[in-house]
Amino acid sequence: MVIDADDIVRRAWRDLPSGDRVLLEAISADQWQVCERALGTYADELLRSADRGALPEAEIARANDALGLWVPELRVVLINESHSAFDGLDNPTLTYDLSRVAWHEWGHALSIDRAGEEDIAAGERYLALLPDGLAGFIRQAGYRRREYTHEIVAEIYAILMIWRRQGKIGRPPWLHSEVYELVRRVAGWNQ
Amino acid sequence: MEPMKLPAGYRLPKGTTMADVRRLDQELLASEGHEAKGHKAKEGRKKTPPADK
Repeated sequence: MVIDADDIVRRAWRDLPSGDRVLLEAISADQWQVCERALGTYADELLRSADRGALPEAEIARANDALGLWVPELRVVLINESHSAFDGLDNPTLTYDLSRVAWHEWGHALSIDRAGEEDIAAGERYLALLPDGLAGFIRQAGYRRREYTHEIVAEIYAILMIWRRQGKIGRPPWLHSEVYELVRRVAGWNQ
Repeated sequence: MEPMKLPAGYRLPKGTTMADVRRLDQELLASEGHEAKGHKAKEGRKKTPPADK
């Protein structure tokens, strides 16, 4: 049976702690769209058609590589189910990957709205507190320094959701308490 | 007029796949005994128990 990507994302939404869903609804970040488009080009088209301006070419190119995208001006999460990263996956693996991307993007939505200037400025310091493998992923993916905090919140938020799905709560032992507190404060995580 | 807030995306580093992401997730989530960076240093060295007489 072919599993429906939109159903997976809907389930990922329902799996969020109820308080987090309320928080996302309060900041108008409860809409998503699963599509089969390069996300930079698609987001640019949506922005133009909504009279919200156009994305710079460089941003379109960056976003075209993305599996998921939070578009703050339109208050929508976009997920590209035709991205090559999702090719050939069995149903459980596709469910894991799509859910993880959706949780990451909702983490982005919370971080971009709620992180303060001090949080953003401290991005590099927070990155140095992450386990090496995770920090390496964020460094190598080509994010700007001012994006580090948002990426950290989004990644940790997604991993905490997986942690929660496994029936575990609290701070995982590998996660530095300062980063955990950042995610609690910015994303409202209280599990 | 405020400048446009740019989209924030989830991208993989060149040459990596979601399988690498899943592997890293599993390593982290399985590492129950692994302390976060810096925590041990803050807590100080644990005392070595006295040797049995």
